[in-house]
Amino acid sequence: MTVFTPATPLFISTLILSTLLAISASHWLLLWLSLELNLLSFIPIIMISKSLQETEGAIKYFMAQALGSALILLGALMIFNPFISPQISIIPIILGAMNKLGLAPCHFWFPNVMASISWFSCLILTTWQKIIPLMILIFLPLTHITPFLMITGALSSLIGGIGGMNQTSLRPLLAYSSIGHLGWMICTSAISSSMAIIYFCSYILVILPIMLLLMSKNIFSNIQLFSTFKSKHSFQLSAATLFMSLGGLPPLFGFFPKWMAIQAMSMSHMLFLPLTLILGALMNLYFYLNLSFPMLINLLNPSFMKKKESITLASISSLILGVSPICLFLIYALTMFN
Amino acid sequence: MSMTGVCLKQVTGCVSRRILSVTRRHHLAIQPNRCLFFESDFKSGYSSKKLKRPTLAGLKEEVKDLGPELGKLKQEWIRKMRCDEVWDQQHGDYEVVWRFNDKDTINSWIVTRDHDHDEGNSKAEFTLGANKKGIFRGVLDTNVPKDGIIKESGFCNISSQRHKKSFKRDDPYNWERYTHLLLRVRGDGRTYQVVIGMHRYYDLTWNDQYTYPLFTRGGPYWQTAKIPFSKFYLAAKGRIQDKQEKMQLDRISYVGITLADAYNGPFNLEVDYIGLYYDSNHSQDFAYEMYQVPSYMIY
Repeated sequence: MTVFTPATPLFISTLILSTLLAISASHWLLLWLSLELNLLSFIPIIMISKSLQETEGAIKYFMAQALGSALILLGALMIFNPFISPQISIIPIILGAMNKLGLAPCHFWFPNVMASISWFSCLILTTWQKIIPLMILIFLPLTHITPFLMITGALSSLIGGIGGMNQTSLRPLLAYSSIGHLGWMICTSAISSSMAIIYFCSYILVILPIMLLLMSKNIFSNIQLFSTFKSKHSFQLSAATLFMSLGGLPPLFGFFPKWMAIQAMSMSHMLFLPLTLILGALMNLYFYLNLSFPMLINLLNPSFMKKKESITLASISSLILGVSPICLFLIYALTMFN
Repeated sequence: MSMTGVCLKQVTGCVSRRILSVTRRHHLAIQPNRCLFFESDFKSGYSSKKLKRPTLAGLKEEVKDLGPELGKLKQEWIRKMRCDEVWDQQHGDYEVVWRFNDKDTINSWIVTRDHDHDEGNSKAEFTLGANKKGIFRGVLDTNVPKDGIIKESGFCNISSQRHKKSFKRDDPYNWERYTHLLLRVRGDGRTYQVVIGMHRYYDLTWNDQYTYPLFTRGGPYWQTAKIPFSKFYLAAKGRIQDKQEKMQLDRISYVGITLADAYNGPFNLEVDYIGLYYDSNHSQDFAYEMYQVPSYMIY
């Protein structure tokens, strides 16, 4: 359970400031400083309820992130060395950013930490905490490392799909899903940085309502999901729609960033890469459908069918949740391609 | 993971047994709070004596194990990709985890007595009875050995082995689907302790156990003890911890039954099975210390 203390606004404000500082940083050391500030602001947010599980998660997170920060600092210092080629000095920075993101093959800490922390911390970890390392990977001149990044992206998509199989706990499941989506973002960044940012924003738009819904009901496992939602029929349709949207099922919103990415990669004459990404996404979709089907089948319960008003309200709200961001996407796509 | 630590005097001024026992065989750390001292040994000094074998022989044995371990790994991946875990639960669902009706199951459980490490004179055994049920019996002896170190004695325990997957990696049980622990036992009227050991990462939490008393009737009739997981309280090295927390049901390492009720004499406990039960009407999260502590209090 997340307990908000008077110190929470302090840490949240430094968390926000650190990200803004990193985005506007003009020096490597300033970027590293903002990364450290980001880490040090997030640790107390994880440990806010002082439970053992969250403390364990916070320490594991600190160890992983400290390694990433150290690698980035090493790379930053190497850049200032005139005897080392910039192409070599950028490698520790890339590795550090990959570690901080939880991108394969540096992903081992991510599901472990997600399984230990509260939903509020999970939400920040999967969205806000990705901004800085993702910006490093997207905006660095990495033309000579692009094939390597594409391979890691493809690997992340596959690992995200395989790792999420047979998961009964929802937090590690969403962690593996996040790894999979990161793979898509990295591969898209090789084609266009703005496309990667659109994908990231779309991911946030989809994951945010899911985590808020699960946080509101304090649900951590699939058993709790089905038993809690059995009596709250109005949430079942929303949850099922959101999970299918996250899995990338058309015509829900989650499908469109994937469509955009596949189209861009096909136009760049890439075949193997989108195939690998789609394979990972299919595995992701499989376990999301596993979550959604029992809820959808439960909606056919005769007692639920009698409540016509709640069906209408629930169905409209779910459709809005799943479909409305398409309008934003379509507007942007029209402006981009014109 | 071990944290660097220094042996300190306890706050109360009593010198820790750990300092005294540095030169002795065992580490008898009498620690009221598990967060005070680091743990250097996973078994807290109670490791069984292993004969040192030559490196080459050891290597040959490991290579021999490679085939079966790879087979186990293959089965794990097949199970993972099949994705056929039960996702829904109905009221009254149960699962028998250990049924003590054959020698293999009985032998897979470990019997521990204080006499094993020269800390007492209790005797215990766990055998298969004539009616194909497990019998945990022996004699509890609370007489303290006269070595000047041990202050209390009288302890017998049976525990399951830690669940392992391929290549001897720890694989904790995941019992999140269930709400109660079921035990079908026939006791002798004595009070036993059901112990659930946790699989934890840091050395300070290696000895975390959740425990609850098992009150037996002593009559000829069998009893089914249905203990909610929410009722188990946190202890470490036999000491109930001040800061209580809910049990993590996806990190269960082993289950055991302990007798340490400080009464001299024989004991006899028949165990039919140990299982799990799901009660949809059980809504209690944790039974102890659910009050909110002010944020300025550090504990």
